[in-house]
Order: sequence, then structure tokens, then C-alpha cells
Amino acid sequence: MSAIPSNVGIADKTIEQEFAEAVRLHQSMVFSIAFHYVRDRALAEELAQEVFLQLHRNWCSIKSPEHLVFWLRKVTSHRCIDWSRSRKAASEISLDDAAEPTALESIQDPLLSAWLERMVASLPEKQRLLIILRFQEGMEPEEIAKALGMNVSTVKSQVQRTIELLRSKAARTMERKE
Amino acid sequence: MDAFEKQLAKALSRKDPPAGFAARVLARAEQQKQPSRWFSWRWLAPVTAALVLMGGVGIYREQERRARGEEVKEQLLLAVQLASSKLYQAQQKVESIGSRRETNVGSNIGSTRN
Repeated sequence: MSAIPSNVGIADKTIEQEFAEAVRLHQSMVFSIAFHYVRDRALAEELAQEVFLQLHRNWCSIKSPEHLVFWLRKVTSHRCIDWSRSRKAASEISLDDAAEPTALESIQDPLLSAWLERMVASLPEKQRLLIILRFQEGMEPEEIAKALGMNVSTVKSQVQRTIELLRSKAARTMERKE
Repeated sequence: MDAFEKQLAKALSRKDPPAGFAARVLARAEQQKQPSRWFSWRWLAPVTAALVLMGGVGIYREQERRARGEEVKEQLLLAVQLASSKLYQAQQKVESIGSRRETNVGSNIGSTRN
């Protein structure tokens, strides 16, 4: 197997070189999933490092570059969920209870992005991951379902429901501002 | 994808990890490859010797326990044999006394009739 771009000679690479290449190639994907989930750069780095170390231990089980991407997304998602579950503090708030931006905050483009990031981070764990995988990674519901071990219909309905909730929350905030 | 969803995708765009991330991962992966510190070949001989010794002691104790068991079994069999021979002798005595009494009673009855 090789995680290396097709223009690089596979035969010339050692396993360590292949692994290093995979880390460089996919570091922002893994880090971003973790970061959007935990909203803490240091913690996201720790989670992402753990994912790559697990990959290093299981390198021989990776069958293709596509499998590698699937494996990384799946393992990162599960690591994030495990982190949530191990953190017993009820710091997670539901979407309905999440603080909306104050009236002083203008919902202009960059601020809307920051607001949306905060809103996504406040979602319950499964919904948060669904939205991250759908919108950060652009994954199709079928791929998400496979990675998280869920029904495709459940993924579709939960993604749709979460988008509608976020949309209505954003609309309310805009109205309040006006 | 509508405008809101596009905005969501933009908000959740990929971010670069902190500088030196890949190097830190590779260093940890390299560490992971090293055999753990508690294992060292120099411990192999004494640990093997200790295991062999413990095994030997175990086998010796087991054999000793079995030999003691056999001894106890033999003593028990001997005791049973002795007890049964004593019982046999006692039974013989009782029977001989019984037959003598019957003979005496028979001769007494005969002399009374006469």
C-alpha cells in the first residue's frame, strides 16, 4: 500500500517514508476534524497525534490511499467521541441553549463564520461530527454512515435537522440585530 | 448547497495544525518503535534461570506430595488388613464358644430325661 501521491515511485520508499508522507498529506484534515470538534488547538493536536500514532501501529492494514483517508476520518471521529465521553463535565450545551452572539456583534461574513464554528462546537457529539464530516470534509451521507457505523437515512435526517436548527438560530440572531 | 450551507462549509474549512506538528508525530512514532525500557536482553539469562529453578522446586514438591500420599495409602491398607484379621479371629472365637454351649445344653437335656 502507499499513501503517497501517484507521481512518487512507491518501490523506492520505505514504510517510514510512506508514513511521513501520509502525515504531511493528511495532517490538516485530521487536525481540523479534531479542532472543530474540541475547539482547542492544543487538545486537537494531542488527539491528531494519537490518531497518527495509531495509524503508525496499523500501517500494514492500510490497503490504498482511499482506504487511508477513510481510516483517518473514521479513527479521528471515534477519538473525538471517546474524548467527549471521557470528559464527564457537562460543559457541552445543547444547540438550543448555546449562547447567541450579542447584538453588538455584527453578523458579517468573518464573524458569521466564527459564530457558526461556535455553534457547531456546541452541538451534541454525534450531530457535531455529522456536520464536521459533511461540511469540512464534504463527505456524502453514505460515507459518513460507513465511517460512524450509522444508517444512511439517520445520517441524512440528522444532518438536515441540524442544518435547519442552525439556520433558524442564525436567522433569529440576525433579526435581533436588525 | 444553498448560501447558508456554503457559509457553514466556509466556517468549517480545514485549518493548518501548529508548526512542527508532523515532526512531533514522527518523533513520537520513532519512540513508539523502540522496545520498551523494562525489557533488556541482559535480564534474559537470570530470568530464565529463576523460572527453571521455580519450575524445578514445583516439580520436586509435587513428587514429594505424591510420595507422601502413597505412604499414607499403604499405612491405611495395612491398618485395614490388621483390623479385618482381628475381626476374623474374634468371629472365630465367638463361633467356637457358641458351638460349645450348644453341645453342653444338649447333653444336659439328655441326662435330665434319663
